[in-house]
Amino acid sequence: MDNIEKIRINQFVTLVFLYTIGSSILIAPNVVVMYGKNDAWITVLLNLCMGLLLVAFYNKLAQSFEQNYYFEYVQTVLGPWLGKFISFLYLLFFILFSSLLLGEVGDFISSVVIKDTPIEAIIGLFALIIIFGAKYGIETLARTGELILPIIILLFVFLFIFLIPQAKPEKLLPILENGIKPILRSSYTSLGLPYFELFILFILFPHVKSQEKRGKALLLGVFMGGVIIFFITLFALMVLGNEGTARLHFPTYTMTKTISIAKIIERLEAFLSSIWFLTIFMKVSLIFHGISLYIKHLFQLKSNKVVLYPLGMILLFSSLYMSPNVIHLREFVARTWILYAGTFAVLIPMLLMAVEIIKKRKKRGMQHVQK
Amino acid sequence: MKKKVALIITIILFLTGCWDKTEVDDLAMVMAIGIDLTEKGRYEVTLQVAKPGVFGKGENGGAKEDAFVTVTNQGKTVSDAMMQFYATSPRRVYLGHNKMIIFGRRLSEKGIKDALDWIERVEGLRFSNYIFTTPNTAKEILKINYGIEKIPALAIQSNIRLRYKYIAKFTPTMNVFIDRLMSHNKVSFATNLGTEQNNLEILGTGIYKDGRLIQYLNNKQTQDIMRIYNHVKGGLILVPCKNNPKNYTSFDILDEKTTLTPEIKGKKITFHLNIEANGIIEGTQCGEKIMTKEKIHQLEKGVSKIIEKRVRSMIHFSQKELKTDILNYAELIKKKEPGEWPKFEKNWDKVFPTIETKIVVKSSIKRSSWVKDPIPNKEKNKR
Repeated sequence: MDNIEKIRINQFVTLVFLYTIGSSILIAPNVVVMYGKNDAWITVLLNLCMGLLLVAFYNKLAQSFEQNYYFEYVQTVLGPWLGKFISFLYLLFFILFSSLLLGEVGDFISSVVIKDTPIEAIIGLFALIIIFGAKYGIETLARTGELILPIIILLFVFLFIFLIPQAKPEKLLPILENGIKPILRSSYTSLGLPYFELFILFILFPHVKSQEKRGKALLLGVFMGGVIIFFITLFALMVLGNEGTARLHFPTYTMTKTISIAKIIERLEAFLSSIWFLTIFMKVSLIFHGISLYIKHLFQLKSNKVVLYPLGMILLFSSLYMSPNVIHLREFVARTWILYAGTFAVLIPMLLMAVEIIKKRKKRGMQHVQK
Repeated sequence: MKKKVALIITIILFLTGCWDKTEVDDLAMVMAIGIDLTEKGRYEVTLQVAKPGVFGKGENGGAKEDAFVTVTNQGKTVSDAMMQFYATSPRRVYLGHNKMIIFGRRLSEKGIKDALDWIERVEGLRFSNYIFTTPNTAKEILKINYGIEKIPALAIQSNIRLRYKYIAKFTPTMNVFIDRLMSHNKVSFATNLGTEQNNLEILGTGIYKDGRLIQYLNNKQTQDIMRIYNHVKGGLILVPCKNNPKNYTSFDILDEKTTLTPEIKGKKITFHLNIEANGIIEGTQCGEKIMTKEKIHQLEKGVSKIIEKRVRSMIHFSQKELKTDILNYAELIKKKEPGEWPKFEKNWDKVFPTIETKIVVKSSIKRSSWVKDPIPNKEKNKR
């Protein structure tokens, strides 16, 4: 594991940050507000706390596989056969997830930007870029992340400043109208966005240069992303109100359309779409890279690069198949996602940890017997 | 090397330009959309389209030709009517520069929500489009030439942007209209555009309840209701003189602030409406010195009295005549006293007319422009 690509710690934070906000900034407000109503912003804060707890758990778990990939760890804990089976399930999850994201890109562009262009062309082009991203590896992606981070932060700052005149804080009133229940209900549907997606970042762990700082860096990246999602949801509520947010496909996009400062600064929706494109590119490229690593490992290939183009083809068609229409994806995210992603993000890692602890105890027990 | 050349050639093949490009002179720029309902219940859409060729001419005393054309089509839905334009127009109908949307009277009374749905979904329309209503049909309105400006839609747009100084800082654009429609009382406002001797004129405001037109207000009433919503930032108050009630002192509002708070004691709701108006004196007909402490005080009192009277009559109108909560009271109770709201929610329609509003108006005259006192009246001085 010596000749592996290495990324610096601030590059790691950047990647985590971009990964966290990718896709969530456009979808999350809608899903949260669906049940959370006026108090959705509280839900987002609650989710952030739970997400950080989850990250702390991941850091604890990651201590057991220090310099190795997560899938290697799965196999050392569960043995070669069961381990390979679980790894295969993970692989399927990765493929499904990345094709969902790709389908989202297609849906978004073809419903708000260019309506006449066939969705296959849009997704195909995007898939091509992602293949390039994955092909050049994690180091290149990390440097790209460093390059686009200032742009994204600048765009966010502009957006939030320009949105202030449109925001009406009284739309958040009354706070806790129906008690705590809707908050928990909406937390259940929205926790998966983006916190149950974080475990995919395990593929980055062996690449980080200074391992001792890795845990804190992960926490920082997720926290920054969570804060951005909080502000986006808060502004969506203050600008559009809860009904207005819940009834739109892309509330954050519509929200930026309302910006009009002195009739000169208008039509800033391109700001948001550029943020979204850049972040989702980083996200899908990372996942795609992860897929190729998994396949390389599962089938004992020499290089992960040979599988990229065929994988791209699979991804292109599975994403078309996965989102036959706009609402299908939303329903999937709102109903199934928490359980499906939860299995891979929480349940299996917890099982692994439990198995390892039991194994250690057994060893200790054996040592006792031998003494 | 060979690979690179092949790649470049393939890329060149695909990058010949946008396959669905549209040149500016292939577009029909729609400046205003009017939507009516015919007697048979069909949608009638009228577009005001700019004629770009006319812009260059005219100044040098050329033939007087309208700089716009209006075209009308009917259909079962708004999209159906629009489809006729797409099918018959020699140029691509482009809505990106549209400035305003007018709803005709029959459609307004029947409900505009269906038309609004099209407006929200259609490509190109901006959220900053102004929403208008009219007592006539939209078709008639869009055909009228505005006089000094070439395109009526642009003229009305400029006019409405200036209005906040004189009426209220409230311009019902598309996003504001929809936002108000989804508020608790479902009341939204649209500017009322009518004709006066074949001239376009802004008559006031049309009030929509749940997408249906329920009432027209004139410009003065518009100012009064906007006072309650804290949107008035300008306007004129005429105070009658003490010595001759037919003469007036003009008080020009520079800034106004309204706060409205509910107070609930048991089953009784009281609203406290506080208005603070600042302004200057723009002129007096009273023919006497006005810049004394007492006179200023008197004038301020007079202004407050008039504002209070006007607002009170507006509230009375809403509670007793219209019997509709156009004042946003329900939402204020819900937001500020969420615990009390369920008590009134069920029979709000009965509770609303009985609500008492306590109005306190404080107005202050800050300046009086360049002049302290008016030109002295010689005849009076002789006496």
